Amino acid sequence: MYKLFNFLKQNCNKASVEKQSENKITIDMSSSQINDISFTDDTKFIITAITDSGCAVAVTSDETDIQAAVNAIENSKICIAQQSEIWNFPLNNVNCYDKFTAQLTAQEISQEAKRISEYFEIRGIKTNIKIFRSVYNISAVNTEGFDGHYKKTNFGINIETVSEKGFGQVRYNEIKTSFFRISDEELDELCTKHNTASNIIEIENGRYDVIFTQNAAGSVLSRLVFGFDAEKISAGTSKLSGKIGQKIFSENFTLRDDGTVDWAAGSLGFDSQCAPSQNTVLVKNGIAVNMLANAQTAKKLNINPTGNCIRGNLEGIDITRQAVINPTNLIVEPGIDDASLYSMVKKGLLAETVLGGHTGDFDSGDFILTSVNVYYIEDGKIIGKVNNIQLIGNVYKDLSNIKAVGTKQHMLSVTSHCIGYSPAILIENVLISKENR
Amino acid sequence: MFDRIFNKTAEECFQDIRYEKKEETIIRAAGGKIIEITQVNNTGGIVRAFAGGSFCSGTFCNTDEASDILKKVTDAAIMIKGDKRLSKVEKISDNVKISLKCDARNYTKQQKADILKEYITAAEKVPGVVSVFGMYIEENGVKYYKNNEGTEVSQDILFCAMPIFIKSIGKERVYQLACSLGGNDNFEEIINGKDTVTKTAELVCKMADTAQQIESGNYDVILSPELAGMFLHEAFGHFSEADIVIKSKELQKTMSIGNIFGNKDLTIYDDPEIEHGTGSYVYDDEGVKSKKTIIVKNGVLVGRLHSRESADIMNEPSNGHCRAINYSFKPIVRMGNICMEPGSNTLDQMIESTENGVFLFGLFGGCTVGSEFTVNAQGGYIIKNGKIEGLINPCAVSGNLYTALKNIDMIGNKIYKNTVGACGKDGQYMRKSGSAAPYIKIKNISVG
Repeated sequence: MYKLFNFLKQNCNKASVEKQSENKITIDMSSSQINDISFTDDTKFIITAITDSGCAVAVTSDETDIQAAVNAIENSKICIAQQSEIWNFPLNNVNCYDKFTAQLTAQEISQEAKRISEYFEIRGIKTNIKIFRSVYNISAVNTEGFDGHYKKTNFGINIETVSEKGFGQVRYNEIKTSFFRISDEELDELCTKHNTASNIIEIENGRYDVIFTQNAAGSVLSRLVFGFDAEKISAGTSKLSGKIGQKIFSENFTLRDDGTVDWAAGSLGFDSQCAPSQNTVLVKNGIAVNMLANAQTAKKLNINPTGNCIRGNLEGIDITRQAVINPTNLIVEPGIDDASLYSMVKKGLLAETVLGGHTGDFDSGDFILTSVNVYYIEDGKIIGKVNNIQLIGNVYKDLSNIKAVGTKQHMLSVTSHCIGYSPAILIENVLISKENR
Repeated sequence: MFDRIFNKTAEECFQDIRYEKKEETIIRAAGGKIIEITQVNNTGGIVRAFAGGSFCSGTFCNTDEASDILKKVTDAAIMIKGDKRLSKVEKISDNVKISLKCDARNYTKQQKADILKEYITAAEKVPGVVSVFGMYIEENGVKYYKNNEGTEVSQDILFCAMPIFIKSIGKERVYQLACSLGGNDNFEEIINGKDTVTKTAELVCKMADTAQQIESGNYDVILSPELAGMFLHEAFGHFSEADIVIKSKELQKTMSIGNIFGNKDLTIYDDPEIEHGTGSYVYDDEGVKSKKTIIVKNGVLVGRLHSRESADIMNEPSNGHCRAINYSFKPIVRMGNICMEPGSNTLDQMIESTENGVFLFGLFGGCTVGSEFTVNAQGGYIIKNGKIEGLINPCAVSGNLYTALKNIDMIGNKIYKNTVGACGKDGQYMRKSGSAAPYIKIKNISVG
C-alpha cells in the first residue's frame, strides 16, 4: 500500500490509498444437504488521485501495480475537481471485530447450518439455508496525514422454509458482527409462521394498521437515506430541503445512523474518504435534526462529514461504484414492549418481506411494495397469511402516522444486504390495494 | 497457462479453473462536467472441485496461490459424500476473439468522456431539466477457462453502456427518467445516442408539467418492450433457472415439463447468441457452448436453463447457462437474453382494444420472490376508450407468475432488443443479462 501511496504523493496534489481484504466462507444447504461451499479471498487497493484538474479512482489487486496509480493520475486530468476531498480526523473506537467469528471453519459453519436444518426437518419442514462468515481488514493512508486501520467480522444466517409448491414460505435474515445462535424460541416462531402461512386470509382494499418489520421496514426506511443526503437537501432536490429542524414524523419515531455500534453489521472505522464513522441522530422524536454528509458537502455547508460516503448502494457494497451517501446502520430507537404493540392491532397486518424495496422513485419517498410475507392479525394474534396485496404510501406521510414502536431489534434489509436494525413499527391507515386474481 | 494445476483425474474429482484479466472503466458526469473516472483492474481467478457431493470453490488474486487453493477445495469436496454427477458435455478447445466495425477499445477515454459530456450538456439545455447524471461503463479483457476433462477456452470480454438519468421538478415531486445507450459490445449504439437522450429529457419535463397519479387498482396494461422484457425476466425467467428448481422436489413438480403456463400464443426462449445482445456470450463459465433454449412453447413448459450439475440431476441437456459476474464468484445458472416470440398485433391495435388501461414505459427495476413479481415503470399514459390520454406518474405492476402469464392478451408483431439489462441473484449483480420482447398487453393486473 505504501509503495503505491509514495508514488502518488510525489505525483499529485492529494491522494489516498485504501486496502480492503475480505476472507469469506459461505455454506449453502438445502434440507441438510450441502449444495455448495465457497471460500473467497480477495484484496483490493483503491487509489484516489487528486490533481489540479480533478479526481479519479483506480482499483487493483496488486500492491506493486504502479500503472494503476499512473492511470488514476492520467484519468484525473479528464475530470473536473468536484468530488475531491479527503479527510484526517481522529478515529472513533469501533469494536466490530470478533476473534471467535474470524476463526470459524467451514466445518463449524456447516454444523450450525445442519443443526438449524434438522430442527425444521423433524417438524416436517424443508429449508434452504445459507450461512456465511467474513473477515475484513481495512487500511487507509492519505496525504492529509491519515493512516488508519480496522478489522471487522460479519456472521450471517439466511433461512427460507419451503412451501408445498417448492417456493419460499417464511424467511429469516440476520447479520451481525459476531457469531450468534438462533434460539429455539425463534426457530419455533418460524415453524409456527410456516404453518400459519398455509391459512390464506382474503382481505378487501382499504386502509389498515400495519406492523412493518425486517425487510418490509427496511424497504420503507431506506427511502429516508435519499431524503437525509445533505447534498440533495442543499440542492433542493430532497423532500427534506428546508425542513431540517421541523417536525416531519410521529413523536415516537427516533432514528439514527450509527456506524459505531459493536454488534451491528454495517459498523466501520472510517468511510471511503477516511472520515470516521459517527452516531448521527437524524430524527429526534419526530423532528428531522441532522443530515448525512460526505466530505465535499460538509465543507460547503461548514459541518463535519458523517462517515457515510461508501462505495455501493442499498443492495450491497461494491468498490466499482461511486462513493455516495449510504447508511452504515440505520437504527430506530425502541419504544413499548412487543406484546403491547401487537395487542394494539385489532384487525391489521404484519409485513415482514416485500418486493419492490430496491426499486421505484426513491427521491419522492413513494413506496409500492408487493406482499411476500404479510400476515393478518386479529386481536394481536397472527391468524393467517395475506397474499396478493400491495402496500402503498409515501415515507414522509406514513411515518407521521406511527402509532407505536416495539422493542426487539430486527435486521433491516432492502434485498439481502443489511442496512440497519429496527423494532417493529406500527403505522396506522396504510393504503392496501388487493390484486384481483 | 496453469499447465499442471490439476492434481486429480476427472474421474477422481472434477476440477476447473477460471482466470480473468478484466479492466472496468466507469466515467461519471454531472453538471456538464466529468466528475470522476474509476478504473478497476479486476484480475484474479477461481478454482472449483466436485466429487459427487457438492461443489467447493475458492478464489485467488495471485496465480501462485491457485494450486494450494485448488488442493484445499478438492479436500473439502471429497469430504462431502454424494452420488451427484455432472452432465457430459463436448470437450472444447477454442479462442474467441471479438472483432467489430465500431470497437470501444479503439477510442480513448478522453473521446468517451467527450461523448458523455456532449449528451449530458444536450439534456441539460432542454428547458425544465434540473439535473443530469450520466455514466459510461466499459468492461474489457480476457476470460480463460480450463478443466481436467480437457476443455480449454479463452474468450474476449467487451461490454459498454451509457445510462443517463435526467430529472425535472413538478408541482409535488421530482421526476426522473433514465435512458440507456448500448448495453452490449457495440460502441456504435452509444455514438448514435444523442437523439434518444434529448427526447428523454423532453419527456421527463412533459411528465413534470402534466403527469397525474394513477389510482391504484387493476387495469389492462400495455408494457413497452423493455418492461415486457423485465416482466419476462422476473415473472418467469428466474423459475426457468434450474439451480433454483433442483433445490426442491416440490418445485420440480410445480415446474414439470409439460405444465401449462400461458395461452397458445406464448413462446419464451433464452438466446445468448443474439448479435450485440446485452446478455450474449459464446461459452459459459463451465466452458459449455451457449445455446438458444426454448422454455415455453405455445404456453407449455418445454425446457429450462442449466448448469452441468442441474442438467444431470434433471436428466436434461446442458445448454451453457452457468455464469458468474467475475472471478470472485462461483458460476450460477443465469439467463442470457430472455426473449418472447412476436405475435400478430400492432401497438395501435392494443391501444384501440383497451377501454380502461395504461400504457407503461421506462424501467425502474423489478424483482421476484416465490411466485410473486413486481416490475416498476418510470411512467406511462392512461388509456380511455381506446385512446391515449395524459401522462401518469411512476408506478409498479405486480402479480403472480401463473396468473400474469395466462392473462397476456395481445402480443406485438415486432420484437425489440432491449438496451436495459442487469439482474441480481445470490449476491451477484450481473450487468450482462438482457432481453428482447415485443409490446404486450396483460389484462386485469395490479398497478399501484
